[in-house]
Amino acid sequence: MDKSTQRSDNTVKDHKQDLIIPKLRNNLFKDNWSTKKLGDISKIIMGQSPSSSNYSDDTDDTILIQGNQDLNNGLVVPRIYTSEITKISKPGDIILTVRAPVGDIAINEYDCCIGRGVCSITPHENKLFIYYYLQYLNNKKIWNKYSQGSTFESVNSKDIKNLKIKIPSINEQNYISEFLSSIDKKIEFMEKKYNCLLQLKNNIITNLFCNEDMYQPLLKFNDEKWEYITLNEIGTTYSGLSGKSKDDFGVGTSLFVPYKAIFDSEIIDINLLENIKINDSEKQNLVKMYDILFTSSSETPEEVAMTSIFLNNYDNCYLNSFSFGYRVTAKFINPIFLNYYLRSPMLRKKFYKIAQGSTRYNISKKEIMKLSIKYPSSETQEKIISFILNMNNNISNLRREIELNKEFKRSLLSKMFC
Amino acid sequence: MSNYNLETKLWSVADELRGNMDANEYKNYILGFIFYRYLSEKQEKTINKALEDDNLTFKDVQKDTVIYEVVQKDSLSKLGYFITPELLFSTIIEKTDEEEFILDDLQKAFNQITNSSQGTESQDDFSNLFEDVELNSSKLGKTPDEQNDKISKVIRKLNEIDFKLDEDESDILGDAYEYLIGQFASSAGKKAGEFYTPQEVSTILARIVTLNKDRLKSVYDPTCGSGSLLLRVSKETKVADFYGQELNQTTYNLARMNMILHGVRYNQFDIKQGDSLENPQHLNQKFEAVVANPPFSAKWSSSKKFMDDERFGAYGKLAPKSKADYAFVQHMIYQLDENGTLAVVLPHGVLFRGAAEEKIRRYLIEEKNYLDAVIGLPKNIFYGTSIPTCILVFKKCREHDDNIIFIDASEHYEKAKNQNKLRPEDIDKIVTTYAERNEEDKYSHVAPLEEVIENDYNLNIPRYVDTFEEEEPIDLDELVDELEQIEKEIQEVDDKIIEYCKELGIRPPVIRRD
Repeated sequence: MDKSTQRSDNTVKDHKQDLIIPKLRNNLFKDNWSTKKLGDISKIIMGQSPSSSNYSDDTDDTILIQGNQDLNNGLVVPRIYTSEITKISKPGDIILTVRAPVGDIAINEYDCCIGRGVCSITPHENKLFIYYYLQYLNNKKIWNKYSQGSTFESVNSKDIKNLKIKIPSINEQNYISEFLSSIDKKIEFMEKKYNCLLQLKNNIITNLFCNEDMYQPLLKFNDEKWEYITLNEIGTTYSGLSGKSKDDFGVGTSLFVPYKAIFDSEIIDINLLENIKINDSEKQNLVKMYDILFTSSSETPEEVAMTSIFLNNYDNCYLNSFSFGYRVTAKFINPIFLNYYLRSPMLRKKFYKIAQGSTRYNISKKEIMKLSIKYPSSETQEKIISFILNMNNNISNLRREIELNKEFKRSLLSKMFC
Repeated sequence: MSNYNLETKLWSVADELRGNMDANEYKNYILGFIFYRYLSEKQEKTINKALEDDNLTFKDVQKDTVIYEVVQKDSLSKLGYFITPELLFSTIIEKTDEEEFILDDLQKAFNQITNSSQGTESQDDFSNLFEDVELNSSKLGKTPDEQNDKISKVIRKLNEIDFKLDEDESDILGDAYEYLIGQFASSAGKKAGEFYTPQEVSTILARIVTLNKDRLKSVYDPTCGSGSLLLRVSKETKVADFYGQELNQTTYNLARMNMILHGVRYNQFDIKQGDSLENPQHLNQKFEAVVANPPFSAKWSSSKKFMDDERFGAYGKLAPKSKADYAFVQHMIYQLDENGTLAVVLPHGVLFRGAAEEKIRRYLIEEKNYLDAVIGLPKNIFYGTSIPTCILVFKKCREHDDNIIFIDASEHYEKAKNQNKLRPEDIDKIVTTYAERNEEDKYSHVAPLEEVIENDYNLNIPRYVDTFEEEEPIDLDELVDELEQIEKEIQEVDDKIIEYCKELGIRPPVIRRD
């Protein structure tokens, strides 16, 4: 336990010669920061859980915040409600989680009831400054020291009230919080942009391919007519590993593509490949470059027959037993084009129809091979591939930019407080 | 009205035995005693009513041999059994007041009920009815006295409940009995593939086979369990005769008690014990309504001899050993009358499984054209299994013989505690859609036979009823507008960030692309 909590006096004494200033600071500000206890510069209300029989889904009841499952991205997300009101948090208060895990925070925008997993803080100083300060403390993992040795991580009201906050003049508080919130705002906008680009991509992809009853797709590069063909006519299938026992997995020098690698993305991420032991005498199917891999069973019919393309050249890579491979043999079909086509909403709908099962859903190779597609000239296929690839790059670049901005904010948090 | 009360009171009698044994065992006692008391009171009431004008009661006339013999004969022909005064439930209750030993009398009473019908028309309905009520089970107590004590407590508790037999036309006790059977079924856990049919599902089957009929000559259930499905049909319309077969001896006993408790006279029902695939007992009869909830994917012999059996031979293939589902369908079709309707609950697999089952399915549609409807039910509506199920409806003379209606009711239910439940409106919707052959987006589709052929006789419902949720397409222009707006706002924030970074003397993480 923090020694300071055992002292009876309210102010924490600092040695005169200690300068309390942050590493990064606007030159305009010269004053030394002072050390206060959180309990002295804010009102703290510890949560108290209503009886669980009073919980409800009724949005006319009061929102109940129980823990970090009710917080997301610094905001309260209403999840459950209660008809019994124990302790109240007001709009603008800071919510801090006090048990497993301790230290998550959010700005509350509602009149709500708080359970014993959280507390509500109403600062007398700049609210955002305290909010960011708590984020800084959480990044520094200061809550860890309170939970050492205990099985259920939690802090009590004393711990929170005695929490030491180093705080500058109100002007500097305003300055720092305005800067940090503009970065938060930027991140928020970029997330919005990211979702918007994803939707844009889906929207475009839907119309970039041609439906069976159409002559050409809605979004077209030229006026050519798309041809009709079944999967049977343009490629062959092969099955995944067979006859392997539990002991063969995770060892050996060969690799295999696990189910999840296919399910997760449209291009196999080779970092997800796993090891397997294959003997020389075994007859197993190798996965080759440009093979399209299908999952053949899933928990829901919506998820059946996801496809992913293998774009690497390996001579020792195999396929898991719950999937099958498809190798394009026709010269006029670009496998990458086909792979995008198979992931498009139009084809997903066809897979959904032929998926069958009771507890798990399966799809038969035979049925899939009967499906038909429409395709344009090789040049147009190339154009479509390149268009989608560019959209994808654009999106993944933005994702990286968002992550960099989050890093930037973390680094500011660590330098602008002390 | 007080239906609920009676149910809970009866269920609470079970508390007396709950600690001693599991539900599957104590249900035999509770249900057996209720039945015994019912028979006993029914007989007393019937006889007393006949003697009313003479101002006599049954207990008065036991010394008068002449009247007594008349009374006995009358009871046998009206009710199908006879209990002597000293073995009536009321007499035995009196003995428990004195804490007398009653187990021998009870056993005698049970024997009397079964024996009194020997050599009469009702013989089959009463034989061995009480064999599952083991009065000297060590689970009741170590010594005969302890056993006697336990049983006395149970029947005294039962005696406190008013059965309301005076309300003549009502079925209160019968329904409460049914409720108990259901309760026991849900607390007993499952046995290989045998699941108590929830009332909602029975109701759908019953309403389908009684559509447009104000009376039925006969109804038949080859796997009748406790008979609730048969009785459910009689709630929808007047049924002349009930026929059933049940493999499990205990359940078979329950079915007969259930019939009698619901006021079905002994000469109106014919329920047999045995395996209806291996040893069918009603083969020479055809029925106007056939209903069943056979055990899901049960094992059967699939023995070659069945290829010579009229019921199975013509299909070219037998249902596989591990899945008797289609064997039951074939058996039921054989027993179905030309003008009748067959409705059966089956696991989803029958719609699409390959090999022999595909062949049988195809034969039923292509050669016979008997299949009238496929109805997909929500998952998790049975006690003890979450398996998704469907109802198939067959008719030999179909009104709409150029199509099959597919109904996808799988998303229409209410979530209850452990179970999904069909609400009355869900049941109505299924029955109305079937009756009127309505088409509704994402719910039902009347598929011309050609469509079924195109799908290679695969009946999997998503092929016919499109429930795929397509994402709402968003206008491209709108998205680009939004993107532009976001871009503008990012620029404004960027300006601020650059300003701050300058003041702090650090490089801003902003790359201007313009």
